[in-house]
Amino acid sequence: MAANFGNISLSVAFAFALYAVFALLLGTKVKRRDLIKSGENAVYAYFTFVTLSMFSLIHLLVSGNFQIEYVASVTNESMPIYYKIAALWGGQAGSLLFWTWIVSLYTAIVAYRNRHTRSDLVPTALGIMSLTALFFLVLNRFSESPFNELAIVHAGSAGPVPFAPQDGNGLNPLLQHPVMVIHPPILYLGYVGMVVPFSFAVAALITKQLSNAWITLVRRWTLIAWGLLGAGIILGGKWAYMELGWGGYWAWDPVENASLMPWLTATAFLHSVIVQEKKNMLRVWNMVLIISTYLLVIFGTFLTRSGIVSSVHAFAQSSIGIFFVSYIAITGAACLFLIFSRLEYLKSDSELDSIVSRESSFLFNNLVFLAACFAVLWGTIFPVISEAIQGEQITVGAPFFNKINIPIGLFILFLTGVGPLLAWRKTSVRSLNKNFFWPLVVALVAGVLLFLAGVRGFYALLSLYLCIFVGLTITSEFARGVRARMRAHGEQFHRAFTQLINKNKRRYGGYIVHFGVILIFLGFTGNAFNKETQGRIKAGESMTIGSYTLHCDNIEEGEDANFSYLIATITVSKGGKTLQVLRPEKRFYFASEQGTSEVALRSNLVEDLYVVFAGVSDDERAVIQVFLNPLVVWVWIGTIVMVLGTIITILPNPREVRLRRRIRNLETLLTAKGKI
Amino acid sequence: MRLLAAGILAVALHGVLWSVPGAVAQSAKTQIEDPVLATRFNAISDRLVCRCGCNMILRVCNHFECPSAVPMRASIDEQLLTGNDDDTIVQSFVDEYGMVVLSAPPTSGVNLAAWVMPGFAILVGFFLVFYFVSDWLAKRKAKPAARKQAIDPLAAARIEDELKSMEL
Repeated sequence: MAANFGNISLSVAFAFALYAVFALLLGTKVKRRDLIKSGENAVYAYFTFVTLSMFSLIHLLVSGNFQIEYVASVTNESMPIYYKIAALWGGQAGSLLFWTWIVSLYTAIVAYRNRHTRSDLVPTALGIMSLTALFFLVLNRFSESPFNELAIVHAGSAGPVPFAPQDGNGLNPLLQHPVMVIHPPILYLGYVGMVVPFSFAVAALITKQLSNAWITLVRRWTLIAWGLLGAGIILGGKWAYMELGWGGYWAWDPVENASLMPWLTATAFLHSVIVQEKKNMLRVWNMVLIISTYLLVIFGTFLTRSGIVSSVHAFAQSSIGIFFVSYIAITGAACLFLIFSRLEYLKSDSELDSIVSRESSFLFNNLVFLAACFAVLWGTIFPVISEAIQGEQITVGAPFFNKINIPIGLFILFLTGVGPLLAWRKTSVRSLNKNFFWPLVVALVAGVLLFLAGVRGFYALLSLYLCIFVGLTITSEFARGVRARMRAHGEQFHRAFTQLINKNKRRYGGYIVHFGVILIFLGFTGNAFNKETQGRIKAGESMTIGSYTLHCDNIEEGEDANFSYLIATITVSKGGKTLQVLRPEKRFYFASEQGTSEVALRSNLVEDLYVVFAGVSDDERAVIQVFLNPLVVWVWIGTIVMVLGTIITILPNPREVRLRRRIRNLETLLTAKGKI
Repeated sequence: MRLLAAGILAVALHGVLWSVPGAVAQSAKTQIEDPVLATRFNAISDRLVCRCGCNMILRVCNHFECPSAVPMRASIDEQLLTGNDDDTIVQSFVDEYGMVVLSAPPTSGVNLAAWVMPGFAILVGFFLVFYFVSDWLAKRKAKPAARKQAIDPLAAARIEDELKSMEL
């Protein structure tokens, strides 16, 4: 019943999406307002039906209808309800439906928020967004339906008969972790959110409305998608850190790379649109960047789902690759055609006053972000290229990506500190001196002190040096602003600080984002100093790492309906003083017959003591792996700071709020008078 | 204010200095106790991937009693103790498993492209940036007269007013 309802809802949504594309694009072309209005209604309609379809699947997952192939493959009776709901994005077909739902959600929100806008840009953008939704609905309906029923052919029977197993296979045990309940939705919201700026960019190309209006319309949408994507990526790192048990959070896995690439191009876009807004430059370039971001989103989805590369995150190999390749090829060709045919409109009277200016720093910023993106893309697809040419498989793993991307990343960190402090048009020597002299000197002294304190490793030392330098440049920028406000308005420090941010959220929110980047790099740098050890211990025995002693108090075993477990109770002490009791766990899931390690962590601002219960040795001792990972916590803190900065940047300035209020009042007045 | 800034700086510096240990990375995956050989073990096992299907770097693979990683690590230990050099040890794995066992592409033949292309792309990017910057700078120099025109006094007064009304 629910499966039929879900399937029918998908079919109806498909029909409405098809109509929406037709009505919105044609309506804009022939200037028929009624057709556009009907297209907008079709957007709400297909969003509603995709939502109904998604809830049908959730109902099937939660109620455990194992006659449905998807439900049987990703859930079982003993899973907690929140993992049953999370199973929606735990498999190929369900996650594709979730993708479609998010596209349709974004489309409906854009339609609603712009319902009074008369510009051709909005209906055309809605048409493009609906086209993306239509593509995924095609996959949902005709290739990867989550509502297929299991059937079995008995000997002598006329045809296949419905079949429902007693229990399902259960969600992959690695995905049964609290972070997996929130990481995929946040990542998807960011990933799919890039559809909005892309659609407005293409709409601007189609309608030839190539002023900066489309950029203003999509600025917040891009920031929201970018912030969510960044948070989603780091949450994925947190999941890997806590669940995979190898002591790290980023392995340059192809699927991790797939999410990083659009984030890099979107970051370049967010910076270069500022140049377009301020100087009317880089207009073609911004089009290229946002189109690349969208194509990388689709390419990433293709990588995850086609089985073209092997990955711990990838879904099973399937036949949908050809759909994606065709879609990417057609969309890419159409966008290229549009850009070339609109080159005349995209020309800008660009000129630069000096190479030492904010404009040129943005150019270098774009260059390094794209270089990083290209290096990641190249490394990700090189095994496929190499196999096609040489006929022999090769591996491109973390050592390759680290060698290429660490210097690029450090250059990005350097620009994070330098770029925002350069003046538009031209930076004088005096200004350079004022902004950079003391940060450079203090960072240099700190670098020497770090060296004398025993810190070795060129990149680690350089990274710490740059973290200090960039941190100081940003702090001094805040200090100057606060001091000016304290002097000009007689405000107290905290009042001046909050008002400084409040009056120019975009600028100071951006600085806060940059500050988060520094903290994340500080966390990355800790990798250079990781230590690890492994011990075989039983109750009453101890092992050591660094200055920590780990004493095994007992090992208990047990089981619940979903898995059996072994838990080691370990008392951590330092210099004879007891610090904490840790309980690393080894699980064995019955349905999937897979084992997982649940990491136990003692984390502080300096280092993480990361304890893994690896297994039990032949002599019945617990095999415990222990990692001492310095500074990791700064990666998570930096991400929170970045998200906070992004939220501040998205919030409107007081002046903007006043302007919006006036516009709303005017609209109310005109509506009352019957003028609109 | 300056005192506060100096205090924050001192605390931050102290924090960084205190928190970053001076030791190099250690590994738990070798039975060798000689620190020089253990460091070499780390370097060699970083150049290889585990062949159990996990695709992890050999030094990193954390599967308990992994049927691939455990014998591979034992073989590295054994070869280190017999005095083989790093390249010979790595080559012995390539002979057994093929190039797929290497964690990064070799720097020869077609695979050299993996290493060269990112650098080449950056060079092309730098060239393009310098090309456009030079072009824009040239345009700027070609229009000196327009720049030297005096600003309309009314516009100047308006700008002055707006600047005054702007708050920090």
